[in-house]
Formats: sequence, C-alpha cells, structure tokens
Amino acid sequence: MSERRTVLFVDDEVRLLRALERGVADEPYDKLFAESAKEALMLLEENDVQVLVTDMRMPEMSGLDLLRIVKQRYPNIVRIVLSGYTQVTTLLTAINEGEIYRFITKPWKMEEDFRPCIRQALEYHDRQTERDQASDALVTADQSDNAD
Amino acid sequence: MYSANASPLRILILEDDMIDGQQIKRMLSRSSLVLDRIELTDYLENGLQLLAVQDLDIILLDLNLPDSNGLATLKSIENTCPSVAKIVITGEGDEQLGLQAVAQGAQDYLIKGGFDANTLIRAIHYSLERKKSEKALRESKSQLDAMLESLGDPMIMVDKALCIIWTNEANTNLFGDDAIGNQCHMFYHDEETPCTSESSAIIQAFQDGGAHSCDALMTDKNDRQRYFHWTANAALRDKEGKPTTVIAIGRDITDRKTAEESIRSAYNEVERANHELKEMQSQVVQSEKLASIGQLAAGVAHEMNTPVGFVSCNFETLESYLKKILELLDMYEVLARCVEASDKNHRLETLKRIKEAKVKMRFDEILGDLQGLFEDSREGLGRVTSIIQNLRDFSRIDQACDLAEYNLNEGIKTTLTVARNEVKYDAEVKTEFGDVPTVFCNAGQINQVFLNILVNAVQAIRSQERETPGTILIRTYSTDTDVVCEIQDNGPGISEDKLPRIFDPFFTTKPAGKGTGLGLSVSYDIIVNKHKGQIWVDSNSNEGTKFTITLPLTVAATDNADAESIPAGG
Ligand SMILES: Nc1ncnc2c1ncn2[C@@H]1O[C@H](COP(=O)(O)OP(=O)(O)OP(=O)(O)O)[C@@H](O)[C@H]1O
Ligand SMILES: [Mg+2]
Repeated sequence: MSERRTVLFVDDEVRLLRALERGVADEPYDKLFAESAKEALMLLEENDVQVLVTDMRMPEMSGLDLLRIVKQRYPNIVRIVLSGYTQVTTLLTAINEGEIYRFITKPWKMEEDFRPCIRQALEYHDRQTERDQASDALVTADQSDNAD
Repeated sequence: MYSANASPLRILILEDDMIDGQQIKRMLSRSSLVLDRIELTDYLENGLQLLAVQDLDIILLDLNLPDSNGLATLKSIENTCPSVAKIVITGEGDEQLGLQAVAQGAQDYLIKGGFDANTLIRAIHYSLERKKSEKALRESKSQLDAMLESLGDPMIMVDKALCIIWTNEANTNLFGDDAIGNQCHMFYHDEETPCTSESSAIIQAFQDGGAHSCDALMTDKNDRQRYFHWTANAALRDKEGKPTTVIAIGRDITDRKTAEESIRSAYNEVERANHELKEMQSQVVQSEKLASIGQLAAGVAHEMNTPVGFVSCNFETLESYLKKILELLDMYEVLARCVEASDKNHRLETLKRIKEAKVKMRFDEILGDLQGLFEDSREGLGRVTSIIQNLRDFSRIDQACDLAEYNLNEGIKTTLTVARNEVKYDAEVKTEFGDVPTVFCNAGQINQVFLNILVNAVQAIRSQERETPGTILIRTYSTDTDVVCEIQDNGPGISEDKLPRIFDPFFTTKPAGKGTGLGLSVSYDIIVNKHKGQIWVDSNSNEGTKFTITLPLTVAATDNADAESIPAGG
C-alpha cells in the first residue's frame, strides 16, 4: 500500500497525547491528535483516517458516543479503545455497540503492545479494504459468489 | 293466712293408739281445713306402703309404733318421702325428743293429749308453710349447688382461722377430697405457716374486706404443676362488717402462663435478634465503607491510570532516547580518540557519521522534547502522589484513634479530590467555605457521608442525561451550637412519596447493581447515632435536592481563643 496512512488519537488529557506522540514519533504513518470527541469528529471530516484510538471517559461527549458515530459515518475506520476504565459493563457496551478492534488498558506498554497493535490495525484495515473491493467486484460480476 | 292454699289436704295419721287417732281425725274433720282425705294407720309398715302409692301433704306421726320406735321412725318416713310435711307426736315429758325430731326433718311437734283442735290446726298450717319454704330453700340451694358444681373452677370457703369449710366439686376433683377442716396453706401448699399477706388474696380479703387476687403455682392431686389465678372476696361479715368467711375461686391460667412464657422467650429472642441486627448494621457500615471505597477505587484507578499511563509511556520513550544518546556518545568517544591521535581523516569521517546519525535520530527534536517529557512526567507523578495522599486523608487509615479534630472544609476538599473523577464529567462543583471551628469526630466516617451525598447528587444529575453539566453547591458555616454543611444539586429532585424513605436501608431507585440503597442509611447512622448531629433533606421535584448536615460543637476539641494553650490538668 503506497498511500499515506493516518492514525487519530483522542484523549482529554493533553499530557497523555504528548506521551503517545513521543511513543509513535518513529512510526511510519501520519498522526493526528484530538483533545475531545468533538475535535476528533472535526479532524475526521478533513482527513482520511484509517485507525482511531480513543479514551472512553471524556467530558461532554464520551468515547462510546464517538465510537458509535464513527462506526456509522466511517465504517472502515478501525476502532481501538485506550482506557483506564475497565468496568466490565462499559467494556461490553464498547465492544458490542462500538465494534471495537482492540481494547488497550492504561497504563500500556508502547513497545510490546501499543505500536504492534496499531500496526496490526493498519494491516487489518488494508486487508479489509482489499476484501471489500474484491467482493464489490464479485457482487457486480456474480451475485451468488458473495460469501465470506 | 293459710287460706291461700286452695287445694284440699291429704293427711296421714300414723298412730298405734286408735282412740287417740280417731280423736285427731275428728278434730280435723270438724275444723275449717279443706280436706281431701284422712288416712289413719297404726303400723309403720302400713304407713310406708301407703306413702309409696299415695301423694300426701302432711303426716301426723307418733314416734312409738308397734314396729318402730323413736327417731328411727321419723328417719324411715323421712327417707321415703322427704317432701311431705311431718308433725311428730310425742309422749308427755318427751319434749326433748320433739325438738330432736324437728332438728332431723320434722316441721313441728305436739305433746300427746296436750293439744286442742286449734293448736293442731295451727301446727298443720305452720308445718305446711315451713315445709314449703324449706322446699323453696332446698331448691334454690340445689340450684346454687348445681351451679357451683358445674363451675369448672375450684372454689373454697375459708373461715377466719384459714380453715377450709366448704369446697366445690371442681376443687375436689383437682386437689382431692380432704380439704374440709384443713388450713388452706396446709392443704394446697403443704406448708405449716400461712402464706404472707402480700402473696395471699385470701389473707388480704380478711384484712380489709375487699376483693383481691393473686397468682399461685399449685400442685394438683396428680402431681401436675398448674398456675391458678385466685380471686378472694368476703362472704360473711360480723356486726362490725369484718369478714368472718372468705370465698375464693381459682382459675387455671397455666395455658396463659405458658403462652406468656413463650411470648417472653419469643420477646427475648427478638431482643437478641435485634441486638445482633444492630451489630450487623455496624458491620454493614464497615462493609459499606469498603464497598463505596471499592466503587471509588474504579474511579480512582481511572484517575491514576491516566497519569501512570503517560508517565510510563514517557519512561519508555526516555529509554529509547537514552539508547540513541548513548549511541551518539559512543561516536563522540571515537571522535575524541581521533582528536587525540590527530587522525584527521578518520576524524572528519566520524564527524560526518555523527551528523548523519543526529539527523536520522532527529537528535534536536529529542533534545527539545526532553524538558517537556520531564515536566509532563513530573506532573503525572505529582498527580498520583496527591491522589494517594488524598485517599489516605479520606479514609484516615493512618489515624490511630477514632475521634480527632476535624476541619469541615478540609474534609470536603479531600472528599472532592477523591471523588473528582466521579464528578467532573457530569457536574461543576462550587464551594462556599465559611469560617468553621474544628469539631471532634471520626474524619473517615464524616468524609464517607460527604462522599455518599456527593455521589448521589452526581448520579441524580447524570440520570437526567442533560446537555449541560449540573451544578453542585457546597456551603459550610457555623452557628452557636453546630458546624453546618449544605450540599445542593440542581438535579431531578426527589418526589414527595419517596422523600420519607430515602434514609431507609436498601431503599434505592437505582437499577440493580448500581445502588444498594445503603448510602443514606449509613450516612444517617454516622451523623445521628455516632456523632449526635443531624442530617435532613429538602427537595422539590425538578428543582433539585439539598442535604444539610450538622455536627455539634459541644465536643469541639479546642476553643479558637486558646488553641495553642495546654488545657489545665491535662
Ligand atoms: N441528590 C439526590 N437527588 C435525587 N434523588 C436522590 C438524591 N440523593 C438520594 N436520592 C434518592 O435516594 C435513594 C437512596 O439513596 P442512597 O444513597 O441511600 O442509596 P443509593 O444511592 O440508591 O445506593 P448506594 O448509595 O448504596 O449506592 C436513591 O436511590 C435516590 O432515589
Ligand atoms: Mg447513594
């Protein structure tokens, strides 16, 4: 894949965003940072984003609400939660309603978990797109050969 | 007078002296008496036969007959027909015998040859009348007897010497037939000495002539223990009105007593259960404290996870920075050696490699970032430190004794920091701290109360799913007697029907798993029972809720004026 890829990070704690920025500085993709769900939605309108990493608990609009909107408006964006809030109920809603690709808990390991996770998410995104394109082609060609 | 008796008389004359007999018969038939018939016979045997087949009204009886003598004659007649009136005719000088006869059932007596018609008629009238009233008396007595006997309750009559002079059948059935003549304490309790006047209703009744009652445990003739409730009252009195006999009736209350006893033991059981419940409640206070701290822990964890998250992330970055810096340092080492060896070619080459490496690792950016990295990390560590400090302040885990000086404003600040994460997404907290003296109390518990109320307010606001955050206003001030804290929210309020129940244990309107309904009941216990303060609520639907808590100054640790001075004798 030769096109540029972009990952958007959302957290209401700016120091956390800066730490992430340091951590992924050498990674081969563009990074966007938003301090609120609203800001994230604005950035999404102006940028082509492949992976979204968001906190759950944020003032005004929660991560869960953001995930719902993103899922609806940009279904191809791979969604990852980075949160310290590990209550089972929240977790389940996030997974069920937001269709989360991964759930990373705070604090996290950059080298071991975080960077590999995002790389995999990007790969997953690419595979997904390829498959979608392929199946689109198939759908046009043969309606019956549409299975997964 | 006797004319009232309309029915004609049937008379039997039992007289072995036929002349005397005939004479009496004559006297009768010439009298004004209305007669049915007059029988005359000389043998007792014949008389009895007659009596067996005929209804008669009166018998004139000579005691000495050919086949029977003296009082025995009367007895035979009496046995055969007790309801017939009897006049005994005795010989001259035998008045004594006549009196005895009257005592044994005859209504009157006449002296042989010593009476005229008038005397005879009068005696007949008198005897009939007497027999009639005797009969009436006997009837009412037998009614009374039947009544007393049919009474299931034992009944006794006792004289002044406490001797039993009469008992009913129930008493006999229950306690035996040897009551009469025995003193009651002897008969019932096998005691030589009478019961004390306090314990005996009978003795009390003799003393003041009033009705009295007492309960006594008695042993019946079958050796069973039964409880009786005795009521005693004066039966007969002397001229001064003092009782001469007392009648007492006992009621078997064994069942009632047993019931009472089982009620009492049930009551004791309830008492014990209540006690246990109280103990359990204080354990609940403890576990509730743990629960809400556990609940808080999730919030606190989140609060800590963020700073710990970015500090540890920065730490990892720093490690990679350091690796690069060390890499560069190695190159500078090489460079230093080149300078030392004046190896110009190698020096230039090394310089070039250093320059390239710096570009590759974006060394300037790293240098520029280092300060920010440290600042962010220091701030994050500071945040974690203060959270831990506040947690410790909040629960006062380091506080040795339960009660200590407590500053209301500080307590609320600590609680707010601890609850920050729970609150900040839903409400804005405003505080108006007044000048409050310290009070003596258990800081951990009081903070617990503030936390419960604060969390309730936030949960109430959150339940509204509103566009803009709610407001929680916390005010403190003091009065002459108390320090006061008001916590007011502009949430949904509490409806009138729920208002009286919010302090009840387990009352909750929150979904299962969200609320245990213990927060406010525990708070009430802490403020009212443990600290003698007050807690109340003002709420209007749609306008929000205000909780007010007061803590008394009376146990305030020190006076503001001499806060520094050491109390005398302390
Ligand atoms: N500030 C408030 N505004 C509206 N309702 C309130 C407020 N505070 C308490 N209540 C009502 O009172 C009830 C009892 O409160 P309480 O704190 O005792 O229990 P809970 O909050 O339901 O459960 P827990 O505190 O054990 O988690 C609540 O369920 C709620 O209905
Ligand atoms: Mg509560």
